[in-house]
Amino acid sequence: MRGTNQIYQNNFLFDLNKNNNRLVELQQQVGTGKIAQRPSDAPTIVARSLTFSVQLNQTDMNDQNINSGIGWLDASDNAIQTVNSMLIHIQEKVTQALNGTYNDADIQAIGTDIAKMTQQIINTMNTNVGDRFLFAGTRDSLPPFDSNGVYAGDQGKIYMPVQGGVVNPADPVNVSGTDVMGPLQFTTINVNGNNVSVDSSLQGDGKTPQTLYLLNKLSQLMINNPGQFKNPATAENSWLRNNAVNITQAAMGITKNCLAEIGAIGDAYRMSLKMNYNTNMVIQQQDSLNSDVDASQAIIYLKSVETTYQASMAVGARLMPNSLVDYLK
Amino acid sequence: MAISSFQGLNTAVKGLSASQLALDTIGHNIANASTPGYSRQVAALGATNPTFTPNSAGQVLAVGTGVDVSTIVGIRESYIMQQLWEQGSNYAFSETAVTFGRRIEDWFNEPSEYGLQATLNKVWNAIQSLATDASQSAQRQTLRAAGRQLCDYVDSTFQNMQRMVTDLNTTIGIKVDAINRLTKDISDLNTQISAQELTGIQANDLRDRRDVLVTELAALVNVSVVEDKTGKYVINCSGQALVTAQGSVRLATVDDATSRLSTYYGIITNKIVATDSGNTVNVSSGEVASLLFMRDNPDYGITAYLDRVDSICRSQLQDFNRQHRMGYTLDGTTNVNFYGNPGVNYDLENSAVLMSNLAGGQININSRTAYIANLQTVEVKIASVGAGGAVQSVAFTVKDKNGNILSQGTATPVTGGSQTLQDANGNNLFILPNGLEVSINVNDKNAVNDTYSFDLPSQIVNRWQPAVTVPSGVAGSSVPGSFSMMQVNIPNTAVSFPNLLVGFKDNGGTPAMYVSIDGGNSWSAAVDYDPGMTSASEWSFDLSRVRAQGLNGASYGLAGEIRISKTGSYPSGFDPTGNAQLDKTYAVNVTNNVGGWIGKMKVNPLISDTQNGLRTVAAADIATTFTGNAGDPNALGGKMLIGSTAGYDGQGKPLWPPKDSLNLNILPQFDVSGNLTNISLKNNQAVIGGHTYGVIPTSPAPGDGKVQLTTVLKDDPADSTQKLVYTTLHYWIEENGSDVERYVTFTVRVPKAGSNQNGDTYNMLFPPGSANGNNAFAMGVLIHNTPIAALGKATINDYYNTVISDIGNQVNTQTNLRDTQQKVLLQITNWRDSVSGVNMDEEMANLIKFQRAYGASAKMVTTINELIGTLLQAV
Repeated sequence: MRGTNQIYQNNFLFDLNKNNNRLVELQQQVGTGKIAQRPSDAPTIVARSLTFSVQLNQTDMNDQNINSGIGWLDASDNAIQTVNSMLIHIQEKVTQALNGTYNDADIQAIGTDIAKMTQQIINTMNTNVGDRFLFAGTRDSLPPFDSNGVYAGDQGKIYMPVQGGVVNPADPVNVSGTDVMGPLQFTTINVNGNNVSVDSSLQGDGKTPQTLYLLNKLSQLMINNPGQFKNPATAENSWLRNNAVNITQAAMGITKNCLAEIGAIGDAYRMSLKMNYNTNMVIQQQDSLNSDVDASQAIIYLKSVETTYQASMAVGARLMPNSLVDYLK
Repeated sequence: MAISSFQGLNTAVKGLSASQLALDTIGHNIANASTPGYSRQVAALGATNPTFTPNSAGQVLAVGTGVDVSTIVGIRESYIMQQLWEQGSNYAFSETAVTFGRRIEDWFNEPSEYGLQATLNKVWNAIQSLATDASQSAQRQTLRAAGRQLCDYVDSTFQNMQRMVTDLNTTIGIKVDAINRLTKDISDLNTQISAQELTGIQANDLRDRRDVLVTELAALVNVSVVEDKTGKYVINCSGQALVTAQGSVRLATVDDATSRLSTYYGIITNKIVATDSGNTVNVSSGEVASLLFMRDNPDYGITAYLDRVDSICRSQLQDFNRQHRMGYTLDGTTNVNFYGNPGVNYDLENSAVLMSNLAGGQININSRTAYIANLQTVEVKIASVGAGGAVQSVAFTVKDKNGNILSQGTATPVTGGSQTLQDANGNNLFILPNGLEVSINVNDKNAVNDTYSFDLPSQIVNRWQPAVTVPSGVAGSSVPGSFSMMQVNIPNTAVSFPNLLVGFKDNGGTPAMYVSIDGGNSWSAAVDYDPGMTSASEWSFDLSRVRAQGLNGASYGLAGEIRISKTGSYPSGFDPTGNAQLDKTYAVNVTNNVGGWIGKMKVNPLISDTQNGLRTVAAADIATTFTGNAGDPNALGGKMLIGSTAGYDGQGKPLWPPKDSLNLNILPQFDVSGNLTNISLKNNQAVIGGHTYGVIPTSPAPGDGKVQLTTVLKDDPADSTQKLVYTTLHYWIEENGSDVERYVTFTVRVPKAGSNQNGDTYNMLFPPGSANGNNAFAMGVLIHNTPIAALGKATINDYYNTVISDIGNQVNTQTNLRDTQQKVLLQITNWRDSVSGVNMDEEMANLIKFQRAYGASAKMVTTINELIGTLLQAV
């Protein structure tokens, strides 16, 4: 093959250009810490990295949902504990009232106390967190109870998606007003596991939950008609007197069930939180392994490419300008 | 012996002038060492003819007379040039493909925080937040904003791609001009070269210039170059002559109305034609081919990526909307689109979409079947199969709920014109009675007697929704821009069974396509007149079933509905005169809806509305709460009051909410004194989740689609003027293949006295609780986890992932190819330089050689001069 000056130049430029490109690529890799700047740099890595970003986004969102679920459950737990302590207080008062030595004024005073405490229970049941009423079911933008205890919420459940789009429907984060305060219509009440029949005139009005309905009835009887409370003449009043303690017992039974349920769900959510955190860490590691540059390797490679680059320029500088012309005198 | 004293002088002078010429050639070479395409030249020296002189012995001697330059040769190898041109075309192709591929890649902008993936993530996050906190309008706001962002993103992608197409069109035009200039110049050089060489003079430099021009031309288009006997280049490009012995052929660009970009997206594209024949030139290599490829190729070009984005838009408009439509807004309304226009069911748009994919993907039943009352099962048996498993006919049996056979028979694929019509997925369509449509994949291994059975409507997700009526335009169709008008003709025979002729005119007003309902016209394809859709006063024709063949052989789909009044009064806007006339033609403007799904992507104006838009996001899956007495509010006091929420089984367990929405028309019954005796359901039916359920008057027998009301009447203990009706509504709904009983209880409170009368009705509606985010939750699942048929059964994220990896792989492959070709091109260039290039050292050596020769010849002159001088002195 016959060599010509043009061939020197062609080859030199081609090689120099190649070295330049390689340097630019490496500079970007070292500069950004990522193997691929664009899909065509490494299609598989970019595609995997997109998948990881979706998964990371998902676990981040799950984390947020789980935490807000836990917050919701904790707030519900606090409120129901408060309700429970008030119920204990009411039970003490009721027990006092049943004491035969109390006169009408005493009973009226106790009735007023019970009415006030019922009011406090209603206030507690209207607890809201961040403008959302805890015990309103899915109608959580309005207070679920009015001052008479009439329930305006529903029995809807609120779920927090916690993993991969799958949520256990048995794990809602809310309990509704009727979960805590009992049903709107009832024929029996559950006292420590035993069903006690309720007088037909006291089986609910369809709008006030059991606990509030019965406590209202009881306190009204004490206030308005203390004599009847002591010596009931009607089946209705007689039932109220005879079951005065049962009413609070049944109420506490319901709240305790709620507390147990909230506790169990809260544990499940806390477990989810840990698992989600672990998943998140694993994905982050995978993502890093997939798309991050191994810095030391990249720098060593950079060095060697740089050396080649320098060498090719040196060779070009030595060979290109020379020809026989330089030696002819 | 006689010898001329001056012959030696002549020989020396010839030597001088030959050396001079050789030195001139060397100078020419050195001067052109860097000239592109220059081939080095060599002065070919030859001894001149000798003179014959006898010597003293009488022998004849041939005496050399010196040297002459016989010719100046250009050193070139035509085989190398052919290689150079071919590889030059290939290199230019991949170089351009890389440049434009990288531009497409740039628009997707991945991986980054601003690409489509990030936007999809934002939508998903917003949906998740909404699912957990649906009562906060901030979450609704976030979803709406994320939805808008997605629409903006696809819109700007569309705009970018459109700009790039325009850019490509312009570039192609410029390149075609360049081709014309080059072919003209080459042709001119052809003439000069052949004229010069006819006289025997080598046209070295002209040939070099011509080769340079051909090299430039080869970078633009693939060329095949043949040199004819007269030294002219005859150049072809993919069979189209560019340069002939006579001259050059001009190319031109014209608009290409048949490209997909043009017909589907409305983006104008051009193509290259030869001006002599008008034929399209199918360029296969070079820069121009690459420009066309990057624009039009259905797998790698802009068209391909626009189609991919379009598919994602389709999944949003169809699948995402379908989920959103299932949900309930804060106002208790349902069937609301999130994207696109209100009132449009995008499932019915364009190419018929197969909703349910049953029996291993072989047979599908179209969604529209669902609204037909009483259908229970459809059995489809493949009756005959042609080559490759294509189904030629099917036997079908359609049964009602009681197992009675409604219709039975065989069906063959629907044809339009002379060919079998297929849906977008390449499935053959079979139309059965009762409005059923079955599509069967032609490529599957169907075998005779394969039988598929479908239960209806349980496996059909979507219910029929009336589409747009014709007077408002034929919306959402793929009617190409060439149609200007649609005509609806109602012949005067429309008495019992309607005849309808729908015609289309092209832009020139010439009839282009007709479809008729009664099958009397040859263009009748699959127009569907369906008794199920027809009310007592109107016939209704579903245009989405129209699949007719236009004059150019393409199959067109429409959407919309034509309604024709039986009584002669038409929907307003339909008939400009306001009076119906039979045998009259009504013209309806065809809305040219080119632009694809991308063009339809926007957030539903109902949701964008600043007043009520946020309430219209359908986050809830059910209408959960209960408001009574929708109806005349003024009538409340005197009449019926539907009471509080209820829904307990007496054990404290909520039965509420029901799975579906409930919309009840309560009909109270009163005795002659106006006292309530009972309540019932108006028309003996209840609408639950959009389905109408009939009352079973006797004891409740389980079964999908049945409903029963039980009531207990009591005096209201709290208010002696009221009567209470404790009511339980039982209904049966199919879930996971079995009938499940559900019930809901509520209380109705009715005044004992008042202006009650039989026939009063009260509507009960159950709008959702604001915090119910279960439908939002389902939307989130759809975006993240649900394989979507329109995306090749991939999730949106997976699908997008393959888009990105495809563009990445494509550019990556093209880059590697370009690098390889660059290397090949370098080698060929070097090869050419090795043969034809100027080597300075060689030239210097020759310079010295001919300098010495010149000196020596000059010495000869001096010597002869001295010889002659010697002789003269002797005189």
